[in-house]
Amino acid sequence: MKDRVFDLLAGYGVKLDPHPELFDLLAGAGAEVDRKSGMVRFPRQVMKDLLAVAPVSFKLGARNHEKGLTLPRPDGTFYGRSAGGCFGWIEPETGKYEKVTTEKLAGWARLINHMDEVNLLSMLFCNDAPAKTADVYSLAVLLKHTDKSIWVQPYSTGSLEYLIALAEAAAGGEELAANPVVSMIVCSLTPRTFKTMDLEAIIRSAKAGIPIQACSLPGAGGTSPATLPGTVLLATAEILAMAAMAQAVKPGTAVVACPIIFSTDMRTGRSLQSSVESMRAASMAVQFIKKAFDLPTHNYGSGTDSPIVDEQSAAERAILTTWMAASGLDILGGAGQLEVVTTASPLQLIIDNEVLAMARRMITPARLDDDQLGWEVITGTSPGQHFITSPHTLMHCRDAFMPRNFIRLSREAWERQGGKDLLERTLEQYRTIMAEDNPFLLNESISKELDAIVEAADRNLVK
Amino acid sequence: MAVQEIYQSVLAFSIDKIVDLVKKELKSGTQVAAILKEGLIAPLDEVGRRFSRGELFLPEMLAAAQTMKAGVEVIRPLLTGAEMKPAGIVVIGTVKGDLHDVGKDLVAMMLEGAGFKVINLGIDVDYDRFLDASTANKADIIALSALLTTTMPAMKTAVSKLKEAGIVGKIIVGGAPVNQSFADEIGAHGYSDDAPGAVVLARKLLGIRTSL
Repeated sequence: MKDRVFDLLAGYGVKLDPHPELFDLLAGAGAEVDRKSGMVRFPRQVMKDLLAVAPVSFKLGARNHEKGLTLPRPDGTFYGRSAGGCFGWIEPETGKYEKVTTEKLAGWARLINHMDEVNLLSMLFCNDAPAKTADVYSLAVLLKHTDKSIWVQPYSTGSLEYLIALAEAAAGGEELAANPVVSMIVCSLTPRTFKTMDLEAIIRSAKAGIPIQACSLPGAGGTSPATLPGTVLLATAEILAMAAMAQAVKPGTAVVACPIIFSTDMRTGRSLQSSVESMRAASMAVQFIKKAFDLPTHNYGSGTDSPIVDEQSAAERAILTTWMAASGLDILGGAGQLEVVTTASPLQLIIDNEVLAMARRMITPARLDDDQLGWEVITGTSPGQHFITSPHTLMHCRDAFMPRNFIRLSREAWERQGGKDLLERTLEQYRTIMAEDNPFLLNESISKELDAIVEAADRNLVK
Repeated sequence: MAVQEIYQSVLAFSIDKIVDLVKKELKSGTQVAAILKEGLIAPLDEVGRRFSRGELFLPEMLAAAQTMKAGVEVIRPLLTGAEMKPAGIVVIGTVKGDLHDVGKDLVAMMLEGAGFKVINLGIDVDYDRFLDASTANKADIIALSALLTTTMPAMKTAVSKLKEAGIVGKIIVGGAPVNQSFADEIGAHGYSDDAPGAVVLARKLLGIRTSL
């Protein structure tokens, strides 16, 4: 497959919208550029040379330095990311479907501040913002209400400068290259096409020192081959093309590989994120890219194709999280996500936070030293005795993961405590969090800078 | 009887047989109109029904539509003015800012298969292009597609501008993030969640009787 990826990029190439600056940079790096057709081919050695300067480890910054994400995660596990791109919302208090607004997004960020396993935030689509600056509004809200890392989805070429300006302002005078408080989503238009907005996003991000999240989002059987390895091959080639473009702009630009693969429901044409096929292809792509190209990876590691928080959602996201965590994925995205990628649920997010914690425990490498093997306590305990009073047990009795909302009660004990189900218990936690002040708010003077940038975007982009 | 063979060939996606079957049928003296309606259009309606029941999958539906189209090409030179008259004229495109065309092309193909004349404007289409094309072609239906949540506002803008401009045709919408409530909210005349449904919707809006 690795050979075929190189063969595809060298022999057939990718098609770029006209972009003289990028064409010059790519030609300078040794790529074969046909400026008339926009076709760019990467000879094998050229691609290898460009990939060789992409860092294998780097940091996604955050407003709070301590909340930055070192990739790959030093403990060998993963980071979690919240749902992204959703325009729908399940209101926790009523369970009703509503639309995401800037106010709801602010609350969403406040909630995520309390979710230890959700380290990276996505933008949601704010329906109450002007359509042409909705991305600018969304990023401004997140930067104001969380000090965690954010990945940014630009909606238009025009908004790029405002998105970067917001990040620069939120970084508080620090260079983004030193602390990139955001990372930038750039996408292929599968198959093998790249549009102006994404090319511009690559160039501007690389120049500004913003890490690039190179996303290929093929739909198996629709925009990519129906066979999963073929879809993985195509997604990988597109991601490598973006990685190579970023290196041509600025060697050493951090790139996260995001093979976000959907399967196509052949009965309806709907794109699916939690089908067996999409999960299988996603894990295949993650393992392939990490092994063959040594790039950090990011994909869905939670989420469901169900439109509601139900048993299907629970089953699909449990499989997805476990499966993707075991595949070696570096960032598991989609916490709180329903109905493929269209609806966000705060209560589901809280549940996912615990599931992510469990999955992280699950894949934490085991040590096999004498302490972990319990050698002394085994040999020091006579046959037939127990371990509950041993110092070894006392020392390790708090090792186990203790969930907050998952219960291990007898029926009678559960009834005595009010007989609340998981969603009711989660709602209580939600209420507790939302009743507190947000200690992670951006300071007022920088917030005003952000407001000024949003106003400028409105003036120039909204007509 | 042989028209039935053509019908069955469309249902079986036998694109390699359809041309010969239609030619043979013409030679035997069967009316062109009968071949068209009973042999070629009727099976595509059945394909739509089977797809809606989940019995046929998308690629199979497309293969049937392509088979039907190959058969129509054989008789096209022989069609009279009345027979050539389309069921309706449809202007279709993916709205401004959205570059996805798979679903939209699927709808276009199914509408063509059902006898509509389709003017496919492609992707990233601004409302003024929809307006110009629908005016120039006297479109009965203007079909807007969007795949991205971020381009749904462009759909809303297009619907409102088209209505403001006083277009006569009916506006229908579809695409992954679109639903009936969004269609109602933006003032579209109709919504379908799949391609055969778009055919049913178009027929319904134009008062054409349908067996679907």
